[in-house]
Amino acid sequence: MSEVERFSINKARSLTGRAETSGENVSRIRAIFGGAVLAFLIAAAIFAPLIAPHDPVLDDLLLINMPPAWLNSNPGHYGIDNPWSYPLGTDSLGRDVASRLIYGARVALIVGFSVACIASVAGVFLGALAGFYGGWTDAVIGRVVDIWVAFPPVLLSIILVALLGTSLTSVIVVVAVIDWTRFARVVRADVLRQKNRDYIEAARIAGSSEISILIREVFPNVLPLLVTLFFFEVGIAITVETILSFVSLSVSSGSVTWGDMIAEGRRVLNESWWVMGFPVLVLIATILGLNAIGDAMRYYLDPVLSR
Amino acid sequence: MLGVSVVVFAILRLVPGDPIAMMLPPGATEETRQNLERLYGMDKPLIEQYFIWLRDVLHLDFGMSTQFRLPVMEVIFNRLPVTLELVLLASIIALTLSFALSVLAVWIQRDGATLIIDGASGLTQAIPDFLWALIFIFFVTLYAPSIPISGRYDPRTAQDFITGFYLIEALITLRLGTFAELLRHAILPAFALALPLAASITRLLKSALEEAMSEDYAILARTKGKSRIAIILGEALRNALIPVIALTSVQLAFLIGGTVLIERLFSLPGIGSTAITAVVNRDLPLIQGVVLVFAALFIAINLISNGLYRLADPRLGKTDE
Amino acid sequence: MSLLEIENLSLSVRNVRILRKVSLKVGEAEIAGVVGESGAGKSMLGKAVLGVLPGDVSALSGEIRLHGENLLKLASRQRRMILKRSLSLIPQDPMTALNPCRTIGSQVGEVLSLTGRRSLRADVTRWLDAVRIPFAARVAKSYPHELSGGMRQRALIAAAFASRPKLVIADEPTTALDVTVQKDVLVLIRDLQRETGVGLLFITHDLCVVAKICGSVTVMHGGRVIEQAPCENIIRQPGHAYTAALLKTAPRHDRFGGGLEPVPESLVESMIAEAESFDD
Repeated sequence: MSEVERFSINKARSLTGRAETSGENVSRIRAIFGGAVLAFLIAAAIFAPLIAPHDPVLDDLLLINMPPAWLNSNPGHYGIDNPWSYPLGTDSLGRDVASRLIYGARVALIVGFSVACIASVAGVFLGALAGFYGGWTDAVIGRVVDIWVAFPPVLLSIILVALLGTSLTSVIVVVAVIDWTRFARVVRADVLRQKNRDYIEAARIAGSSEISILIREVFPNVLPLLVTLFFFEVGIAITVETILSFVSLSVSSGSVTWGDMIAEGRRVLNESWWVMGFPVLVLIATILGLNAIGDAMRYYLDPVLSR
Repeated sequence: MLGVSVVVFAILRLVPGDPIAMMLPPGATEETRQNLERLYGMDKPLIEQYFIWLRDVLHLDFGMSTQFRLPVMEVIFNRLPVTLELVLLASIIALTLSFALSVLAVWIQRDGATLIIDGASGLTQAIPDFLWALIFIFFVTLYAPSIPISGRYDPRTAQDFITGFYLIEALITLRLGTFAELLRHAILPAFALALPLAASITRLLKSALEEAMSEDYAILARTKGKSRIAIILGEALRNALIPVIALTSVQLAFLIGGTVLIERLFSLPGIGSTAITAVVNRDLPLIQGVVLVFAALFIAINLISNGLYRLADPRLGKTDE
Repeated sequence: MSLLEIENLSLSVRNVRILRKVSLKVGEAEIAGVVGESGAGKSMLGKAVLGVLPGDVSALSGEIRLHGENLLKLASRQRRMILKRSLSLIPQDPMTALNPCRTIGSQVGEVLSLTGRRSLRADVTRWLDAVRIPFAARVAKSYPHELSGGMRQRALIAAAFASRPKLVIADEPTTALDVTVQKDVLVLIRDLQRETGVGLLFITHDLCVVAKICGSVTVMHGGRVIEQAPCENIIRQPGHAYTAALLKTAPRHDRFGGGLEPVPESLVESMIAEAESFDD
């Protein structure tokens, strides 16, 4: 138990360790890169109907497997004048790849942020409870966390989603249910670490109630790490959603997801690389961006690091 | 005696979480059960069913796979070697890469090299194995179609093996041509699995090594006239290993989870891809069996790493004598 | 020609001057003391001789000669040979200076094998006996965490002398120890030095220690040599006000109840001013 605890906090620290070794410049670059990626995605998701050049689910059998615009030497072959109206080409059903990417950002962001919110709130609450009160509360929560860790999250989410049925809500619930332990472990360990320090003791002696100590004294110390974890979690949730839709177990048909596109593109990779290439690229950029923003936030929020 | 006490102690440390993990077709599968039983309209004597099932499991009887019409144990035993070989190969790759890189980084001690290794491992670590697999498949398909990206071996070449561990068997029986052929199939999925792990071990080992190199005993070793590389390998490495082993066990567990998708992507007939087909086909006994196998693997890894941890750190292990 | 001759050694770390034109000599079979408060640069002096300065040294000038050979001019390979054969260190803190993952025997024994010796185990035991470690054979098989600080320091002393060096540098070897074992360790070092006839550079902040074992003393302050003289002279008639002040800070049996006096601040300030006027 304590061993697992220590690993996880180590892990969290090593994940975020980059911020510790690097200075302000790197953090600024990270913040800019991450912020740009995130802003781009949010804009794409919100304004999808305005930006997207085409209906993402509209088949057009005349436009099957059309390459990206800059490689499209013969647009007339597909019966269009301007290849740039399909900037990133089309898939095997003639759907516009760019539009599908833009709409796919919606599902990705909704899943990512909902999961991160639910998982972080639940995880922080339960972790703080376990760490601060100890005793049987800690034993129960700790046991649950231990059991959770023993099962591969991807497999677990596949099983759960298969059973709950494929819908946006079930994907969100499942991933959050699996991932809350990440937050709980970090918070519990940090609360334990700080609980016995002098300044907490001082607050206790000064007559603060336990809950107010928790909120005012302990929470600010864990916050930088939590914010970083939050952004990581968004990235993880987006990845898991992609994986689920890749094995066609995510949001039911009708919505567009990056995972669908990758699965589709995997089948036609020999003929048209762009159907898989672009969603993979976007996904990588998204994950790196979220990681970067998480690291940068940690740097700016942590008074010791940004001093 | 010492060895026994170590093992017993390790088991005692691990066990509290694990009987429960073993009992419930766990966390998830508690819920899994309920849902499925409702689905199949057999939700009445839950506890009784569960104990019967538990008894069967303890006798290594997981029931029949509805999908394959074979005992679950047989399906699992046929496929487990594929997964184990994949995990083994990936671990070897990850460990070799990360040890070489971190020792190199600490040895060279130049800002530029350190920066490159840090940056590369940071990027590599951020991208999950699933994406690495896709990236490999993408480039291999487009630029090197001769490298196989699906299956364990070329079905055109006749294969003849006694065990399921084709790679190991080919190596032991010195069928090197076959081994090379098998390796060609295994190397990409193994690398996809290994890269994120290698990156995180590199980061950790490098900082642990750097810390150890600034310790007094490393400085004292310098005054004994030892060369830098001798100090890294002879003095620092063993100390740096201790925290690394702790982290790596958790990471290795993730690696086992990662096989689910990697096997699927590279069409390998292992436990992981079996799990997905079992889920898709609602093959409940097989799902339960597979989940249990994964949990058992996880526990095994934890036991091994706990043992290693004790071996590596002389301050542990003897204390409870 | 003395065993060790340091001449006009100056050293800066991150552009902060640590040593300013330090010169001193250690003769064959002599114990030379270096005394100073913390920050006087005395530990850096030892590190400079051993060539284990921190990575951020920004300026290094002067000469360090061992048997007339300037160590600072040597290529790293030759330097390592010198370290193996002729120099060794008794470190300050025995709690951190032993590798926690290796047995005492292997850490003492490696200097023996480096000098190409046979029957290693017997030799290790003999050396551990020589530093008065009880149950030497068993201790050789144990790990550092199983020993007390005093035992560890003895093991480190064994390792320092076992390589049969020409010069041993002892960097505050008793500071981290219990008062009760300090004296034993001190006597042990002196006895071993007499038996083996090595030169010993003894770095300490404690003039009492110097008075007990050293032949000559170098008093340092602010990276600069304040006074150099045979030990007796310095104790009887300090040539510099700072040395006198330092002497007064030492607890003495014959002045019981007199209280300890800190080095007067005015003196330190005037010395700093004096030092700075020298530099320019």
